[in-house]
Amino acid sequence: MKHQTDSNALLLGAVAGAATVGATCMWAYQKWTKNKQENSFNIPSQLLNSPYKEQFQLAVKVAILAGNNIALYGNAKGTQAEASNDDLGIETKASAADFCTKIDVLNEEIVTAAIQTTFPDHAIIGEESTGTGTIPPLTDKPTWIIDPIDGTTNFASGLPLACVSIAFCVNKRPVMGCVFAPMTNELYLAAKGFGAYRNGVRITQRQHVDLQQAVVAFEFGYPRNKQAVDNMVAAVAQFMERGCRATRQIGSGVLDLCWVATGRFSLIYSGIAGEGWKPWDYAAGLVIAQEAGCAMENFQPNNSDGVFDLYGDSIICAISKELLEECRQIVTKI
Amino acid sequence: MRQGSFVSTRWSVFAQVLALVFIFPLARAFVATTPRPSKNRARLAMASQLDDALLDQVLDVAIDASKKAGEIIIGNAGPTEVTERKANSRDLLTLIDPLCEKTIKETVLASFPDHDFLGEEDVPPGKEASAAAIASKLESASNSWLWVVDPIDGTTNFVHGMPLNCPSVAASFNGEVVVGVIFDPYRDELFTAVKGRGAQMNGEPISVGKQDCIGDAIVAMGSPPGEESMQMSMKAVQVLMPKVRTLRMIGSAAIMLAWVANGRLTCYWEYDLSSWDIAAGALIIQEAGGKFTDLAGNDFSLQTRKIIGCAPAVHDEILRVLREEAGIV
Repeated sequence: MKHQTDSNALLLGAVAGAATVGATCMWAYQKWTKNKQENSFNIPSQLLNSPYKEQFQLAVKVAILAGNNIALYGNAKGTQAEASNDDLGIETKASAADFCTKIDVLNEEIVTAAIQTTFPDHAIIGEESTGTGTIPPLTDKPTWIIDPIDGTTNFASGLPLACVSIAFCVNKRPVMGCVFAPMTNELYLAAKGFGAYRNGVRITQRQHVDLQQAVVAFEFGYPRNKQAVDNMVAAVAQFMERGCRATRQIGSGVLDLCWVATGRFSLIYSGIAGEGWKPWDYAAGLVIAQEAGCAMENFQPNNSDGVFDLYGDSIICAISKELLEECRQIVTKI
Repeated sequence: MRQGSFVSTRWSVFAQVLALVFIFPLARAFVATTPRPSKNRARLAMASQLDDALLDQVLDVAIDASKKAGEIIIGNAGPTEVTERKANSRDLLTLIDPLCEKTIKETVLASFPDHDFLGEEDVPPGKEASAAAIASKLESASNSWLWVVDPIDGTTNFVHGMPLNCPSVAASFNGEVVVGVIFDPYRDELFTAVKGRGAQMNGEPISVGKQDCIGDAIVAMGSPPGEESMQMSMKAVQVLMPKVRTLRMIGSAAIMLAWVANGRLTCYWEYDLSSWDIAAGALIIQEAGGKFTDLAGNDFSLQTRKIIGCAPAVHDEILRVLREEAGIV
C-alpha cells in the first residue's frame, strides 16, 4: 500500500513539475514575443532627445492601444471571429459615404483621456468631437490634433489600410507626428528638426523621379455631383495622358502622406473639387513628410514662411519640390 | 530446349526478372501520377470526376509553391525600402520575378513532371502575346493539366516597396481551373480554393460581401497603362463615382481578387488582364460565393481578358452601369 502511495505521490509530483515548467516556458515565450513587437515600436533616441519626449511617449502608447482596437475589428471582418465582436455602430455624418464607427469614438476617447491626464492645459482638436461642426482654430496653446481612425471606410470593410494619427502643435505649427497603421505594422514618428522614422528606421528621400516614372496617388473623397466628378476624372486623365508609371487610390489620406514620405508613392494630391482634407488628416503627416525631405503644399503655394495651411482644402505632397510643381501645373488648370 | 524460344533461354529469364524488378514498379508509378490524356476529345474527363486525393495533392503543391515564392518576395522587400532600396529595385525585380517563377515551376514539376506550365515570365509583354500563349497551351493536347502562374502580381508595387504584391498559382484540368492559390506574404494570408470545396483564408472559410445595393459597394479597379484601357477606366470612374460607396486602385489584380473573395472589396473589374493574373482569383471568388464573369456577362474561361468579380447581389447592376452608362463592352 505504501509503495502504491509513494508511486502516486511521485507521479503527482512529476505532473505538477512538468506543468510548472511548461507554464513558465509559455509565460517566458509570450514575454519574449511581446518584447519583440514592442522593440520595433521603440522611440528612436534622436526623437527622445527632442523637446517632445513626453509627447512621443504618450502618443506611441495610446496609438498602439487605438491601433489594437482597429486591428481587432479589421482583422476579424469576414472571418468567423467577426461574429463574436459587437457591431460597429456605424453612424453617417455629412453624407452616406462619410460615416464614423464606435471604434472612431472609442479611439478618440482613449487619446483624449490620456492627454487630459498628462497635459491638462493642452488643447485638443479631434475629428469625432468636432463632428460636422466648425473646426476650432489653432491657438498659441500647445494643441493636439487627433484622427482616431483614418480610412474608416476601409476599416469597416476589413481592408487593412487604416491608421490612427496624432499630432502635437506648438505656436500653431505641427512639431510632432505619430501615425500607427496596425494592419500593415507601421509606426511613423517624426519631430520638426529631428527627422522621421518608420519602425525605428530613419526615412530620407533622396531621389527625384520624373512624372513619367511617378506613382500618382489621389483620393476622390465624398463629393458626388457631376461637375465635381468630371473635374476629378479630368485630373487623373491628365496624369495618365502625360504618362505616369501608375495611379493608386488606397483610401487613407494619412497613409498616403506616410507612403510619399517613404517613396512608395511619388505624389498624393487632393482638392480638385472641394474634396480636400481636414487638419487631423494633414497635421502628423506634414511633420513626417517634411522631415523625410518631401514637399507638401496646398494647391496655392505655402505662405512666405513656408507654412502649410492646415485648414486649406487642397494638398499636394511629393517626394520632391520639382515633382510637386509639375503636379501643381496639372491640378490647378482643371 | 527448342532453338529460338524466347521464354526458355537464360537471357530471356534474366530479362524477365529485370522487367519485374525495375520496370513494373516504374510503370505503376507512372500510371499513378499521370492522368492519361484521352485520345477521344468527345469523352474528355470532367473535372468533377477528379480524384479527391489527387486534388488534395495538387492543392498542397500549389500552396507549397506559392509559399516558397512568397518567402523570396519577403526576403527581398524588407525594411531597406526606406533607405537604400530605391536605386536598385528595378534591377532587383528583374532577378526576383524569374527566380520566383523558376521556384514555383520546379516545385510543381517535382510532383507532377508531366503537367504543363504557363508562367508570366515565359511570355513576351503585351496583350497579343499573352492571349496567344494561353490559347496555344489550351490547344495542345500534350497534357490535360495546365498550371497558370504569375510569380509576382503587382510588380510596380514591389519596386516601390508597397506591401501589395504576391504570387498567384492556378491549376487547370482540361481547361477548367480546379485549384487556385493566392498568397500574400506580407500579411501571411493564404487564399485557397478547390472546385466544389468553397474558399478559405488561412484554412478558415471566407465569403464575398453581403452588399445588396450599389451604394454600399466598394469597387476596385486597375490603373492600366494602355491607352484603350485608360479611356475605359476614366469613363467607368465617371459613371461609378456618384453611385458607389467608394473606389479603390490597389495595383495588384491578385490582391484585389482575393479581397473580393473575403468581402474587403465588394467588386473588382478590369478591362484587360492576362490568364495568369486572374485564373486563381476567379476560382477563389466563385468558391467564396461571388459572381465572376467577363464584361458581357459570360462565364469565366481561361481566355477571358475583361473581367468583373463581385458580390452576387450587385454584380449585374454594376455591370449594367459599366456597359450601358460607360459604354464599356
